[in-house]
Amino acid sequence: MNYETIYIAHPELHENKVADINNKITEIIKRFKGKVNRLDDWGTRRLAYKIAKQTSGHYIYLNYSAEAGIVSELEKTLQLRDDVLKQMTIKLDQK
Amino acid sequence: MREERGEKRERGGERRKKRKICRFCSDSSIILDYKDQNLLENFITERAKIVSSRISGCCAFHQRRLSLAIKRARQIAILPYTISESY
Repeated sequence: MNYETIYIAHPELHENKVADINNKITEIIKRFKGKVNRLDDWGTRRLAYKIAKQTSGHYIYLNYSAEAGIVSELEKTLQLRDDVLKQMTIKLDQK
Repeated sequence: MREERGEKRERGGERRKKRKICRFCSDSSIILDYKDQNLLENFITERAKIVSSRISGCCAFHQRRLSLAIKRARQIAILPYTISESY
């Protein structure tokens, strides 16, 4: 299954910590015998509305394919972290 | 009888205007993506409401896709839900 995840990290988070989060995500994907197709760092962008009182955020985009069960695991991991402000996962149509 | 009918239609006014073509149907290279802020901004009003298909000219299929894309973009703060003065 192909999925797409976007998460917004705290804008003042150090690059190392962001890379850390990405590594953890990659580990989880590998655990589900998956593959990361694409990882884009959009950098700091202005938010359309305030999230956690912040006006900008660090956007990371991921495109990956993995077995079933990955989504709940990944969402749980991201949701529990305090430095991730928002995340969204969608399932892509198979073509 | 026929003359009366003709007159009534003209008084009705707007019906004779040309129908807009759906710009996504006519140009299949435009992909509707929730990540594309520049494209989606054309389809929201000043108060960030989604424009109806009567105004945008989209066909029903693409209007549904567009609406879904805008709602997703709102969820990750690419587009606003509403414009408020203080922000």
